[in-house]
Amino acid sequence: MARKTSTMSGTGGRTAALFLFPFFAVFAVAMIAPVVYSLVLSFYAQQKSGLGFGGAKTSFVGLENYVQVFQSETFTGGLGRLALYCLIYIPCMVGGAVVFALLLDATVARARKLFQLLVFLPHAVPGVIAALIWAYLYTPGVSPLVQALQSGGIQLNFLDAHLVLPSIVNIAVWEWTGYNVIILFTALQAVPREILEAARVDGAGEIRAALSIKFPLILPALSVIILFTVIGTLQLFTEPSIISKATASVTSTWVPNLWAYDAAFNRHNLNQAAAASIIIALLAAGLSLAVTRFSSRMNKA
Amino acid sequence: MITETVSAPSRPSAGVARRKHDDGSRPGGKRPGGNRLSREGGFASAFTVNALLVLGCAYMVLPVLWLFFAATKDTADLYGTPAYSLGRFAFVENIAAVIGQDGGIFFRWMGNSVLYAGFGAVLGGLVSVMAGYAFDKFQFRGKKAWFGFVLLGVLIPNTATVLPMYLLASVFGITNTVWAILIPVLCNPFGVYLARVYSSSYVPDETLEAARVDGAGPVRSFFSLGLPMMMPGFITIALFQFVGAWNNFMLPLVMLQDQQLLPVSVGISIWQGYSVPQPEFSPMVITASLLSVIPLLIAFIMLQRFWKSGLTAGSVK
Amino acid sequence: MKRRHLLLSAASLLTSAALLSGCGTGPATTPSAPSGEASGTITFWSSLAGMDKVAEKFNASQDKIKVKFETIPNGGNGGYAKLSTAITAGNGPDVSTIEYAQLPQFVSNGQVQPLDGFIDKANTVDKVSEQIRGLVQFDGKSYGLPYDAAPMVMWYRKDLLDKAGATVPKTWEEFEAAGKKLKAVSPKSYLASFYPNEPTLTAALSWQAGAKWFSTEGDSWKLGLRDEATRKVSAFWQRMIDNKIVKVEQAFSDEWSADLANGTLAGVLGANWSATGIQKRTEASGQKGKWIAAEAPNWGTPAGAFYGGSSFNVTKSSKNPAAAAKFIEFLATSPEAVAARGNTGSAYLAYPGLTKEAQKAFDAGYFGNDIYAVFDKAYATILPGWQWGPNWDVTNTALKDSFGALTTGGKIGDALDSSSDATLSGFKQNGLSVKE
Repeated sequence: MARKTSTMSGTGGRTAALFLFPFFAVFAVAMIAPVVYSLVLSFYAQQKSGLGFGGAKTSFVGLENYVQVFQSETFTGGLGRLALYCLIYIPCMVGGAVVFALLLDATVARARKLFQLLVFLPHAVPGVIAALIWAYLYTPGVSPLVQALQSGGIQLNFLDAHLVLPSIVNIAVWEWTGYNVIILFTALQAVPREILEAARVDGAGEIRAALSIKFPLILPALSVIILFTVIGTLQLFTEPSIISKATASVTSTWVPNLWAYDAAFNRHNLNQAAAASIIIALLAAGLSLAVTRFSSRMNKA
Repeated sequence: MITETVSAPSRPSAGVARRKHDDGSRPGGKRPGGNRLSREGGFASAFTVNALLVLGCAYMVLPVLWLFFAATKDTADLYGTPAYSLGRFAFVENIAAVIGQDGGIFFRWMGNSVLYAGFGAVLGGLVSVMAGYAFDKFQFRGKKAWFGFVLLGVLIPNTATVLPMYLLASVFGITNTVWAILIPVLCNPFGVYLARVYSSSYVPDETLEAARVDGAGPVRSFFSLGLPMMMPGFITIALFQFVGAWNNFMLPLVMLQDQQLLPVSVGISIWQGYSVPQPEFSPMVITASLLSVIPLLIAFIMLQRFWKSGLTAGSVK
Repeated sequence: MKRRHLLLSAASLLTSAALLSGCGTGPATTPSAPSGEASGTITFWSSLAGMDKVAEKFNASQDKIKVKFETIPNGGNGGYAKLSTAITAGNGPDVSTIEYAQLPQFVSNGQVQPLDGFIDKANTVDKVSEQIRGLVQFDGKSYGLPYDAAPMVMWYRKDLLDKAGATVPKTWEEFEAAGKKLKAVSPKSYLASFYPNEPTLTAALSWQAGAKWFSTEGDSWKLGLRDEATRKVSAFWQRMIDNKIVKVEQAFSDEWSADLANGTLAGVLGANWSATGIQKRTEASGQKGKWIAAEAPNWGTPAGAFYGGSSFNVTKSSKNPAAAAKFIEFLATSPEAVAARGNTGSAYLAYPGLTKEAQKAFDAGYFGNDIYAVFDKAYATILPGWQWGPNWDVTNTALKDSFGALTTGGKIGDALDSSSDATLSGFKQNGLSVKE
């Protein structure tokens, strides 16, 4: 129990408890309790019998729900789809943000304030609205994009089973790149100007300076961005929900969150939904730990 | 360490603290830099860089622009006329339709969004700030472990807890009430994390010590000294929580059935559902989307400064 | 002491009075409709158009029961999820609207109450046709009053058929031939669409061919998604898709609407209720008078099936089933209710005599023939014996999901196979008895 050398009264446990209580109370109600209840629910199931018109019995089934969830091809397919989504999304979005931030920081860039505002604009649009706008932008007959491509002779259906994943990735890229550009750009402002001056004096061009000096120095900010992006990906729900209304390619169980929603509200199997939610939460925790470990090891190097 | 408090190193010729120029303009004006060798790239390089920036921004802006144009069209024109044209300017009719639908439920939805987001921003912000302040200023047993809990909360995705929250709420019968939204919206572990950072940088320990010597209790010094000093931080955290609550989709979708309680994003998605069998809903969906985005856009433009500080504080540990 | 005596005797008097009056109403199986007891405020949810006006009319016509109406999204947009969730959470409506395919699921989950004892069975349920009655009665009890009886109906652009030199097909063979003729004249056109988002239509097509996807044998269910009739239907439609006679696109989607408006589609496989949708999507492009209704093509002998159609039910949440039942009787059997609805579409109703009323309200002038005469003929050939299973949502979702692959190489037959498996495991996971 560490104590400051100048012991301040009124800064100990009891006062701390007063200040911390509101937050931890809400935390317990909004995070701990639901997860605990879910855990309990996930070990039970509703059993009907015969023709099923006679009502159901609740019984303890151990890990049966978890087995069923993992055996479900649509659930594991959804997990695989999320992995693929990450593989496309993270390089595109992070790469785009890094390039944009470096461009903004280039000495020859003009109207920086305006560009920053514009690049951040999509973030002011809530996810639902962004998905709605892009759903229209992908619909043949309404979309200027599709029309432009058609007049050039290219027939692309952004919403068919092959293209719908990249199309949804694009929505997320549109929403989040600007946000991360601002983070990276501000991190770039902390790069000591003397080092850049020295590099210039030594004859390094703008691009070389960017790659070998600026980029390594923003790696800490990058690793935080990647961490939050990976966690955010596990949350994927809104965009597929909206796009699913515009195309049959997005099934009702397309990503794990949709699978859990379907289990709870369409198949009326709350116990399986609980098991799926626990699995998703555990995956998120595990991934976060992995990414944090990896990036701190990288930052130490 | 936050970038805002880094005042050096700046260019040798300028004696101005960096803080004033965190939008990237160099002290001394926006000239491309006289003594920089990049001049050799010449205008070609300047042109490329700026052209790429313009392209990038166009990608960001054009979809929103589409929304403006589309909101001026009725159903027939939506499918019939090119995207960036005005068609038969039906903007006023569309707005009238949105306002009139279901007895003005759109306003109700907007009001609900403001309620949920505002409540989360102000009260939730206060809750987060108090906790962050406590983690920063107070000493107590197991502080590290408790803060570890907070970090864990940051890392668990929102949607993983929504369904369990619904299951628990139905046991207590509070689904389909405003409390089903107002309570979860208060919980923002990231806000606690940010508050701790702001507290350590905005509120010097010495000031608090002086207050204590003068006889002020911890609660009083928080409200009369600590919080006012942290005000920019508080506003940033409140802003983040406001936007987070406003954007929240899965939670209200799952918790609320009564149309009168829905926030605007869920309401619009319901109209999108109606537009399938009744295509005249499409212009309403678009116009409503536009109307719901405008307040946020204005807030963003006016409160840029706080946005940037929050983003950077969170990313530079 | 005296006061306590007084109190005791008063209490016993009251109790015996209560008991007597309780006896008076008799057990719950009284067949006659309760009169004068049903009162109070009830809530009514529906996604059908015009129901707000019907509720208003009911409120205006009497003052014992007050109906509060709320519109909800239709099934495809989460309407049933919303209803099911609300009922489970205890704040569902008194009166709900549930389509025939979903009704067994709600019954099996204990979410709707039997109507026996609250309605006048002889004058309501018993009067509708046998095929429909079987869709709302389970285990000997009635769980809803049927509202519409929606026969599968085909709609054609008569002018486009004429231009291609094709006659209105009577059999599926003729349909294929007409399709080929159409393609010869305008290669970019399609004779109809296959909807990946409407497995209920695929079910109707199989029903028409004699399939029985769900049936009961004693205490067990029997699945028929792989039976011969279904295979015949799936092979036929796969061929239509492969030969580009039929386009795969989502019903009610923007793409489908655009195709109707610009004449790419020469036909719509739907039901009686498709009329309004077709009209709304094509009237701006000058197609008045060009659309006609026709009996759906058959496999040699006239046969039909229902595609859609809803019933009205009393949910478990209802604390006032008597009032709810009274309102349902009004909704489903009274001509005033139909008249109040106004022109919301070409309804075809289950209760005898109501369809004439619905016809009056609907202006069918947009179409090129007497569509109600076609509906009557289609209705007369509906095959009996079809049942919906207790977990239609599992099959529905599995089919929708597999149909999503149709545009990129998936096949209808494979979709039916995997949905059959999904349905089977869904049954087993719930503990129901099932055989294939």
